[in-house]
Amino acid sequence: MLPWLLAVVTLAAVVLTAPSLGRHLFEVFDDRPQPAWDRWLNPMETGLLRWIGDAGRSAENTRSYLQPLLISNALFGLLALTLLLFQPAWFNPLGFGGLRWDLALHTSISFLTNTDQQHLIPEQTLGNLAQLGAIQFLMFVSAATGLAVGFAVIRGFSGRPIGNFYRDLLRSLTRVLIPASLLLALFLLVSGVPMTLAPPLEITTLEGAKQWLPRGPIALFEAIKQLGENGGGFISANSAHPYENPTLLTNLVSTWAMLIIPAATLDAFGRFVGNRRQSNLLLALVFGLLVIGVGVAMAAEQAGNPLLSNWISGGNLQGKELRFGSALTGLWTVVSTGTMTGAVNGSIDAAMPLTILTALFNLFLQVVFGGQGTGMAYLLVFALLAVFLTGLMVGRTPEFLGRKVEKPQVVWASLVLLIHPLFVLIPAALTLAGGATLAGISNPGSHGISQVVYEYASAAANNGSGLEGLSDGTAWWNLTTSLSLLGGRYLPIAALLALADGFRQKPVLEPSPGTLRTDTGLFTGVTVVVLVILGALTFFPVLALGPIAEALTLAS
Amino acid sequence: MARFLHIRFWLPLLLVAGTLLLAPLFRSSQPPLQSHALALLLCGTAALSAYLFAVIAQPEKF
Amino acid sequence: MTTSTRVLFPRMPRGPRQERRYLERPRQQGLVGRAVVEAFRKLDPRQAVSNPVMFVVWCGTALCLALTLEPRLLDVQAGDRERAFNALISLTLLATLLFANFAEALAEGRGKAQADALRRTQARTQARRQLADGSIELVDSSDLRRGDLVLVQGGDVIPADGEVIAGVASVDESAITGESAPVLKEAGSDVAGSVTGGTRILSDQLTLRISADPGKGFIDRMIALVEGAERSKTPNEIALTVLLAVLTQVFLIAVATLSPVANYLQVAPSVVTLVALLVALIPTTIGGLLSAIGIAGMDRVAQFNVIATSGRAVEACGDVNTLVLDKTGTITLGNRLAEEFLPVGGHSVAELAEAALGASCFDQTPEGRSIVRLAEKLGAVLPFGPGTASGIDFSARTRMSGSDTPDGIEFRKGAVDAIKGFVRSRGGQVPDQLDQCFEQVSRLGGTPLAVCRGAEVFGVIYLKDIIKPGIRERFDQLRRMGIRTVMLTGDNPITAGVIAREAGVDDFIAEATPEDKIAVIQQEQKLGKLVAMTGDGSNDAPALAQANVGVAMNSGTQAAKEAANMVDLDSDPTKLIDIVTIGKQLLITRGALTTFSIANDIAKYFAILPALFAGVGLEALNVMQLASPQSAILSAMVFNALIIPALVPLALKGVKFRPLSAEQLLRRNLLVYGAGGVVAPFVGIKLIDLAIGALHLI
Repeated sequence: MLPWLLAVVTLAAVVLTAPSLGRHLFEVFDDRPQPAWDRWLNPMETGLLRWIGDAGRSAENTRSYLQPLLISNALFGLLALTLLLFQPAWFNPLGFGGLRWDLALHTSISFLTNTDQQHLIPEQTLGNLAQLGAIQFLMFVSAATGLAVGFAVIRGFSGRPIGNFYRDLLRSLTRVLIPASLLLALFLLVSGVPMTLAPPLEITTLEGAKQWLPRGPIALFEAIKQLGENGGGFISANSAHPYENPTLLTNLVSTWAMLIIPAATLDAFGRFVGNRRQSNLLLALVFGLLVIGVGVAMAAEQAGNPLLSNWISGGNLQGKELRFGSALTGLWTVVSTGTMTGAVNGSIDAAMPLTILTALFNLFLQVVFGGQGTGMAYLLVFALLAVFLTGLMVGRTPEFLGRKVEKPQVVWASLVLLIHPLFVLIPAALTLAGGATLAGISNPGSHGISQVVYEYASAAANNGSGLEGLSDGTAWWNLTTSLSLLGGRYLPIAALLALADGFRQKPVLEPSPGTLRTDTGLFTGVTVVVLVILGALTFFPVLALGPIAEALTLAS
Repeated sequence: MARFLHIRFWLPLLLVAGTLLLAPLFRSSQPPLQSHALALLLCGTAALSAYLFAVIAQPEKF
Repeated sequence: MTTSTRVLFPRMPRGPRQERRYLERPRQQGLVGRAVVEAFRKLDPRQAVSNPVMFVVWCGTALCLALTLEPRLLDVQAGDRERAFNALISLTLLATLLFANFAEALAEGRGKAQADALRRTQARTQARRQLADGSIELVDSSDLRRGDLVLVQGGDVIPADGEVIAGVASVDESAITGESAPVLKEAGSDVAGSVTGGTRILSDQLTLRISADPGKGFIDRMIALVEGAERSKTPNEIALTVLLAVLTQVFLIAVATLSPVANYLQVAPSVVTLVALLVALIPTTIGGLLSAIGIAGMDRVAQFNVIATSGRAVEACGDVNTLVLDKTGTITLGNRLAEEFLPVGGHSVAELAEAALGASCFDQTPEGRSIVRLAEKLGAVLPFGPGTASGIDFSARTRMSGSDTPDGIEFRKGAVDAIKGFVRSRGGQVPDQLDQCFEQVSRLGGTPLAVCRGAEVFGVIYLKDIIKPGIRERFDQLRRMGIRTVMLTGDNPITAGVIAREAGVDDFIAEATPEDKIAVIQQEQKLGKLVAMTGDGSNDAPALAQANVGVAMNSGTQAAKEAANMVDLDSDPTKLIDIVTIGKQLLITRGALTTFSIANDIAKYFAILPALFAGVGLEALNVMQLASPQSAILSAMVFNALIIPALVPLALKGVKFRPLSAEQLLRRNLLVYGAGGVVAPFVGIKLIDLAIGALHLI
């Protein structure tokens, strides 16, 4: 019972705190006057804006937003790639050398796209300079890029000019991510997470063996990992390791931290469009999907494998940390895959098929809060498509938020639907066609299909978690997932910006009794169905061959 | 019309070229006729996919 | 001339609308037979390529046919058993294609029949073209060009659309309007100045300036439209096509990648079953019926005797937020009738009746004649000898009419302030009672006409406006659909207010000028609203062009017809409301079938997936307990094929439109087409599976 209670408390905390952060996000991204408490950032921000100069005030359209986004991201990526390829000796106590080129490429792309898929063991390959200068740097800027895109899209949908990328990037960092990470890092520090540049600790175990305990500037790293929906661990074991996630309390606070910014973004959306009812219903929709997923996974993990129930009680404890237990690991897994954080506090590979199914479902939908900023945008895309499909049935050209949904909107919105089939199904099919050696599958059968599909889905959805039995450190995996990472990040961003910019230029129509209202329970229900049919039905055959077949085999 | 003449000319050429290129991939598991047929099927699917992209890009023309 | 009354009031619609069908009924026999032939002809890949969803089915069918001829093409182990199954799947796929083609051909056939009916009115004729030097040459009507001058005489068929520049003649327009009574045409008149090609001149002669090149005339446009020759996709259809193409693409990738994934588990399904899965998943139902819905929508508009210049205009009707309507002829019956005489200044009713008779004896409008009738009923006699006085016509500037006797007595009737001005100009006094009468009549919703003899006001005639029966209910329906109605009238604000309240319009503009029409439209459009209006005069043309949907009356001027995007052949302004309904119906039908089509996928998955991968442990997903994998796949395909003809009547007739609010409509249609779309295939596929089992087909 206790894990369920703790899960309820954690999720309730998200609902209760989201509106206040939502108001802050609204004030930040709508250029409202700043509250007294963050005015101390003004000098730094104005200084940086002055340094950016005219670029911070350029014309506001899709191109002028997308171009600096792509250029700056390319530069960030190159910087990280260089650091990873040629790890210098500074802050590198164990003297790690440079990474293999494909691994360095994959790692830098993976962190640049806010995915944090790791095909390496960080504590055995990366020095502190690489961890801070490449990995943690990308964690901050990729989350800020996502947040900027999210609010550019929200601005477009609310009829405002989509804004300026440099300004949004800067303000995402200075007003949201850096202060929030500092606060969370402080809490983690107090809870026992290390924050040091000292080399690993050499200890002698009870058996008398020598062991190295990896440590480093983990507290801040951990904070942006959760808040920025990054998910990449400082240590390979990620949040299962006591240095990243020491106590039950840090576990719950970290779960909250994954959810809070996306939930607040949704709340801010309501403030932007001046219709809190609309945003609350969307929040209820997403929260409902999350709660269902959490319920399924927690129940499945708590019940454990029916074939083992005669010998083992206490649920599915394979690949779990006992300080969290089976059920709360289920909660974490669903939240982490839903929010595109991808951090793990237990092995998803060893989770029950239903948990894996829920996780895959989250990856395919990408809106159960979804990525930093982009999840919100995806939700708007699905709402737009729901309006288009059902809105015709009231006998008018469908309208969303007072604007007509016409061909350009449908083109951009439905392009987003094509990303996953292109970047998940095609590479997964190629990999499986290449045989088990190419795929590096550790468990044959249906689970092997789950492993391969999960890896690409996690890459294309910019999540980063994985079914870790897979031997994914090969050049094939590094290069193909890199493609999925890039395709799953920048193509949707371009489509979303074009969608939002085109949408805002349409005339606003006054609502009448003949207009389909989107802020009703009925429409929210319709959106769920459209979401499931358009977002997940495509993957039903693959899911059926993977986790569903596995679950049915276990059950029978 | 000129555009269609183009397609009529290029499409079979591309299909044949693709088939010949891809057929060796299936040679290990299939006899020659089947491996060529499979390669042609794959190319045809790709062409159909390209056609659908064309529709998405310029729905007015269809 | 016995027909004079008809000539003067050509706009009056008569009889219940359902019974007024003027166009020759299109020939319906042989329609189905021709559509069947056409369905096979449409299998031509050059035609098939224009419908993305069905073209994918076309490719799948070709592949399955090839695998029926040679099952070993893709699988060395395949034998006769596979060949039989492939043949069955090929047949159902072919049937799917043919059913979709048939739906489109049937809709086109109905349009063609309508076009043929029109074309029969447009026999080729000889025309007398007047050359620059005044001489006449005989040319074929197809050689006439815009701007040519043509002479037509009694008995001739008018060779092309044109403007009358000289002469007066009566013209039989029954070919296009069905009105058997001839219409007077004369030069210089607004309404009576234009003629339509294909109509027949009965007497006298006219000189016309041709206003349209051959093939560009009014009837030609009509024919091209109903025939579907000029059919281009409407914006909404294009958006839907994109979404359907994307869904098709998504499922194409999903199915194409399934083979290697399943192959990893050693359960690779055969190519034919994969084609079946693909065809089951892509939205074939809406893909097959999409064009038929659009063509049938245009056809329904034409059946209402309305010619739309584009499908876009019909679709825009569904989006209309505001209707701008003229009071006269739309909200009230065209003619107001004199109801009562209200004398002022100490005059008796009999005196007023006599003066009114004197002022109205030359007035041939229905109002004028009703005054004469009422006065004669009250026993009034003409205050001057017949034929001695001369008539003074009504003009928009003076706003009064009357008669002058040879001895200089002026009888006048007209708008109250116009008469006041007239009386004052003649040095007379205006009694205070006049204003009271004016108000009294206005409050009743009537039109007050003041009557005077020279400088002396006699009283007020109460002209009663009769609101069309049933109009209030229609406006209520419109309000529930979210459409606002604005009434325009030349009446004074009090009268207009009363009529507006009685008729139930949302807003009105009194003492309106044609310029006001444009102003109202622009004002509404600034608020982001779509405006529809009707009009007939030349001065309506700018407003018709400004409105998002402009419906011109066929009795109207050429300018008005050119500016409008629809022309109503019956010249019945209330028809705008029907057109709005058709536009909405069109969109609802499209949305409903799309929803139905996509909702079907759920059941199809449950039918096909467990059948596709026997032996992976998916048996529990076979919730319908279908007999065998092959029978399951075949049942799904048969259902997929049969649902198209089953929905053809719905596509052609359109989903029944109910004037409900958006929320109610959505709930209703979601229940019928969304929930129905989920449930129907479960039932249908199970039944077909049972039938296949009973027939031992597999």
